[in-house]
Amino acid sequence: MFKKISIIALSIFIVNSLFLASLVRAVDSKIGLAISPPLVEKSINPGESISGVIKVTNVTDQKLNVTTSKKYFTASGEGGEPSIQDNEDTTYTLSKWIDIEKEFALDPEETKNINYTIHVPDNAEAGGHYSVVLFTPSATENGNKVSGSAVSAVSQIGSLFLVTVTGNINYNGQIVDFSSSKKIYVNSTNLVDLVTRFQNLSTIHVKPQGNITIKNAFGKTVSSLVFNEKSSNVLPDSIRKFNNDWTKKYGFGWYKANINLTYGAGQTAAANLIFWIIPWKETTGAIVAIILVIWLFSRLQWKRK
Amino acid sequence: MKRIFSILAIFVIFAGTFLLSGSAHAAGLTNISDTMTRLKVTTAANHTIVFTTASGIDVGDTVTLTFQSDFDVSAVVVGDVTIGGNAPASATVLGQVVTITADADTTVAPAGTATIIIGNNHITNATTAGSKKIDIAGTFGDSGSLAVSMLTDEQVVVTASVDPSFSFTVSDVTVGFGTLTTTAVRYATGDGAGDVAAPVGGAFKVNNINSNAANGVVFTTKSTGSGAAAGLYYAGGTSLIAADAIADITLGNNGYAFCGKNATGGALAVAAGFACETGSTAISTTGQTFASDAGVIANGSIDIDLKAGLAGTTKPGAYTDTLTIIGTATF
Repeated sequence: MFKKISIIALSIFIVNSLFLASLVRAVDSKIGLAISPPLVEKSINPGESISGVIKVTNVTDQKLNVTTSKKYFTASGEGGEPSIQDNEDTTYTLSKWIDIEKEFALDPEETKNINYTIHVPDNAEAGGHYSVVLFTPSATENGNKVSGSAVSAVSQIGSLFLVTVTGNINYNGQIVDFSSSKKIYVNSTNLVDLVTRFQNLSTIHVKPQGNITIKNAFGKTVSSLVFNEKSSNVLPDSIRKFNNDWTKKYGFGWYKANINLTYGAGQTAAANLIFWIIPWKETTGAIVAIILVIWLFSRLQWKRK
Repeated sequence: MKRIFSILAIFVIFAGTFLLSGSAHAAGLTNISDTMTRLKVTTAANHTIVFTTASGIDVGDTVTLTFQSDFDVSAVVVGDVTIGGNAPASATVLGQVVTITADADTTVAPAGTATIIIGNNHITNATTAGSKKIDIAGTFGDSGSLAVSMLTDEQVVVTASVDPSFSFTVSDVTVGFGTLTTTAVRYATGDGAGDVAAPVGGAFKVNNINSNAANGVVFTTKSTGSGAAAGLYYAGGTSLIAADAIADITLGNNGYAFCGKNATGGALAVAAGFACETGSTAISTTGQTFASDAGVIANGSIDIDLKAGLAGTTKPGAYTDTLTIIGTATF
């Protein structure tokens, strides 16, 4: 009898332990990866191949299965954000040229070097070709079960590929907007925020580089700002917005900002704008002081007569 | 005899006095050292020569530093030299000898420590490795020598590279509203039960966001819904609770919204259209940006709320959706 009770108790203990263990796993359902690099830029000749490695790390404490997929992307908005496309029917896509492991497993905290090779066919069109390699982790253990209306979250982390296929590339671009947020800045210290919008009409991504020179009313250069310090890209057929801030203390009068850019294979673009700095408190004080001086002078002259 | 003895005694006393006096002025230097900025052969270096002098250095005294033959001291000028931090009266070079003349600012008391610096990298180290001698003497009276070791290379070049990287996690892969009713809009929670109030930490988190990508990172989301339309979908009844903006989820009407709040880390910010307070954008079946940061992020986090309302005419059943959270760098 005692033996039977012991066996039943032991069974209950084991079942409970397994149940509690599954609950613990269910609570810790965090899932995610780290990748390096998140951006790959290559230049390849038609008919040639190039290989590389993406390091993928399991940043959780559970074993993960990881699947890879490749998607064409374009520019979304003007901030350098990718818009991942389901439609691969474009000459700009790189997806079909990338060979990469389709599935692999990662132990907790494990890092794997995932090799890829980009094969560019002989007849590849010169210019830019783009794709994002997405890594999708999933837990090998079942997560928490939810009854009723439920939402599952799938995370994907992507490494962007920007590849130049060498050849006869048409470079074209223009500054479609060069402006400041205000025409007149009225404080004693002003943050002059200059916005440049560059439109890329090339068949390839470009990194416009250059300087913004600010001159005062006397033609003296008072500041020179580096444009596109981070070497950001502008994708074909898209516009990218760049911001440059200039803080000016005790400025007065009109200022002229000139932007001179180079991009592609030595192409240039330029624009300019004029803005004013008139600190109203200081200016009003000066005008009132001048009026007072003139009034006092007039009074003295009148008394003498 | 007595007279001769007296004369001899006086002579011995005088001679002894002179001899003793002479030995005091010609004492050996002690605690001699030379600290050099570089020890590599044929490399320009500064010298800090320190010694203790019994005699001291008076105004007008000279100190001569004689470097071994393969040092190059020809470039040394008075502006390179200090004694005790002050410029001496002069510093001249003749062959391998640097002669420094003290002035009133550069004297050293007897038994004091002299610190002579020859700077501006105007002495080029010996051309071969090994022990090299520097002799110190001069009219100040004391003398001594020291040796310095010349090496073919004394520096270790340390290099390190930091790879660009990006990581994030999603805290809960399955969340639930519980049972939707027409009497209250509900929020999804991590335990799947749902709540009528927005959970403080969101239904789930996009967290542990770390990035050193040069141009920053962006997060997009899309709903699977029915495949054709975003929302909570009941496949058995082909019924959809369509996606809507968070601000438009109202009691008694079908609607399902996604929004972000409590963004932390770097300059991570939720896009205005998906802000929980004022969001006016509905998720769709194509990716839309819901958060971004143009710079680096350390341990960033965003709380995600999911909100749903139900109309009385909605087909009963289990409604589900799969949200895809995509993180990429910006280009």
